[in-house]
Amino acid sequence: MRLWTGLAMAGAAAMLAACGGGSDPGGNTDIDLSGARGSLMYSPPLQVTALGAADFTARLQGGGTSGQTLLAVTGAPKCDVSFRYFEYGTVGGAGEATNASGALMVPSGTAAGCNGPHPIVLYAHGTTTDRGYNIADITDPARPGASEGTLLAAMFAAQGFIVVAPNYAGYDVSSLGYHPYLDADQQSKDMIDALTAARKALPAVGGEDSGALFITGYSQGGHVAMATQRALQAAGQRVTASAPMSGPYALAAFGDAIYYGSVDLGATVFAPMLATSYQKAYGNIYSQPSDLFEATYAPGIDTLLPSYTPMSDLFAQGKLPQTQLFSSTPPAPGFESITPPTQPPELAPLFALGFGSNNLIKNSARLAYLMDAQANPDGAIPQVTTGMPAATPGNTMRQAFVKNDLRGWTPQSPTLLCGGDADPTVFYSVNTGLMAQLWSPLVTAHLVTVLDVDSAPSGADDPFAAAKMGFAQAKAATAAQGGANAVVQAYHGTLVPPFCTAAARGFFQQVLASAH
Amino acid sequence: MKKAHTMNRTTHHLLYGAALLLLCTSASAQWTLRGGVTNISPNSSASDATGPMLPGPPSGISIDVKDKATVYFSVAYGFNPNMEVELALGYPPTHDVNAKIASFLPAQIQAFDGQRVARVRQVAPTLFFNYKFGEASSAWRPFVGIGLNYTNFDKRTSTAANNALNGGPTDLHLSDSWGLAAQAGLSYRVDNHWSITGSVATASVKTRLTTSTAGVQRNIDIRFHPVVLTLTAGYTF
Repeated sequence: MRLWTGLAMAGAAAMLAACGGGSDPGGNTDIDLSGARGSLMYSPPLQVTALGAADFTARLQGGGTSGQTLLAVTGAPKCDVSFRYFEYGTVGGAGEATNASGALMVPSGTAAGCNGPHPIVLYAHGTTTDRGYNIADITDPARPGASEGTLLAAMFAAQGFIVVAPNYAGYDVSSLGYHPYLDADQQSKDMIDALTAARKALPAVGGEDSGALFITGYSQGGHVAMATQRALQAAGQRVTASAPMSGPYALAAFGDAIYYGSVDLGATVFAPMLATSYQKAYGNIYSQPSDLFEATYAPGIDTLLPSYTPMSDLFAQGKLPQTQLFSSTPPAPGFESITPPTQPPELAPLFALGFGSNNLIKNSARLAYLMDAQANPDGAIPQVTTGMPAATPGNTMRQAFVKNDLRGWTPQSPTLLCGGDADPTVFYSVNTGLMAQLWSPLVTAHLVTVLDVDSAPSGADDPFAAAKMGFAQAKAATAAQGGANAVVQAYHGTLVPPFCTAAARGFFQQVLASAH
Repeated sequence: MKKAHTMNRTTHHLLYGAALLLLCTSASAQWTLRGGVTNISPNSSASDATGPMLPGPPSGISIDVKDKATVYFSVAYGFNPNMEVELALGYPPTHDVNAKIASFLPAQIQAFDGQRVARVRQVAPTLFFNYKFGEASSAWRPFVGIGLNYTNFDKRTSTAANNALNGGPTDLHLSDSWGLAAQAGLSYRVDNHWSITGSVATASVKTRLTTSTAGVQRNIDIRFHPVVLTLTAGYTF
């Protein structure tokens, strides 16, 4: 009896001592896990790091040649930048609720333009196969999103713009098991949801929105930026200006060009990402992946990308061919001249890389696509007629491309289309060039500006002379080091982005200045 | 979770065994209540923090749990002149937890080195089985004990420095720990009722610290090699 009394006393003492327990996080975090579109899941969002203007400059200077080159293009950071990581509710390609994450960069400081209300730059990133892509994670230069995040921060945030850059559904912590790649409807919603959530976060992180909204993005992000501008405009929301860069805007024409044999660099990576995206959204691309992909590659290809495994490993494991999109055997008599094409001669070696016996896309699928392309031709490929997409394509892949083709709308706010005309990955003429042609009245009216950074300055008053000369220097330096092939490899992913992004910033600053 | 459950069952068995022993040998049984002071040197060794958006790996960001003195009390039941079961308790001490930042990190992170990032209160009841050398009437009696420690970190406070380091208001959680404990000491018998005891004790304590900042979780694994120095006055009845 005495024992139990003793133990009970000890127990009571222990319980008394435990009174007033729990966790005190030293501040409030508002949590919204409703999953609603545009919901900000955690407010204030996580601060990844904060860099003073001088720290940021030192970091770029210490970041090797790439950092120093970037610094030369962006100019020295003048604002301090707080890097935030935010999570938001959005939807997938079939309208299913999901979540995604992104970067919110907020400038501050005493230099002119660093305090008070700031314009927002909404940025759409380019194609990545890395499932762990996080543009907010600049803690280590080796992280997959660090170089694009650093470029954005140096170009925009350190110069007084608030930056909102989603990682997209299907990346980082997103619960979506695929990425709605180049799905204009989903990707514009994803961008708008990220913007909505980021705006909710601003009061808690000392950011003040001036109301000016700029949209830009590179490559895939160029397409996404334009689709977002179109969607906001359709919803009656004002976009101050936009600058889509090196994007596959005329997706159906671009797709036809590739199937006609103009295989671009990276095609074997883009093809499975497109097929998965459109299969999830429309459900009619194939009955099974082996309808479209060769048996060697079909198993598991629908869940292959994006992946935590590096592309080099996936190639080495034989999950995808590096360049051979199509068979070097013509799909039917009469297609010899495009298997592969030998014209134009300067591009023939590039196109030839896209053909072989380890091809990804089945000849039967290519043939079905080409038959439909001949029966219901695009207005720009193979010959320019209307310039518009085919009205009623029969092939489901072509239908998907047309659905996500951005021809046929008219921007109401200033738009800069920037690219490089020798881009081996996203062809310039069939995308930027074609849009410029369709928008020629807008170009004349100075609402749309077209910039080919791979061209000579038009004269002393060329506002983009610096971008063009910078690009020419970078290209020459790459050629001097690794020859013409190095230029081809670096063109889309390394050479063009900083100069087009710098041009976009100049364009936005000029729009801001002319509004005053 | 599974491990905790197994340990839990072990505890029950030990308690049950102890209770049986007590019931069997009530002839010379006696109770001792001890009260005094204790100083806990946690001697923590902690891993570098792991999780999203940290430098590295290794991240170079770790912690150090500081010493703390507190009031000690225990209740012991001696079921023969040489053996007792003792439940050791104390007023739960609240330890300061300081940041330990590796020198390779940038200056703005270095600035947190040595700063207090948390205050953590632990409740750590320990059940000992003690063997006391010598006769019941001996003035000086050394003893050794082996036992079972349970540690629960019931109150955790994140400081402003921690929130700045983590990137926002940060919720802290430390997993419970079960582990073996041991002690050795010396009692001085003042009279039939009163005694003075000094002891040194240790225990195997392992926990995982999980920080949650705006939905982002990071972890630090901590092992303690505590040295607990205790001085008590005991009353036997």
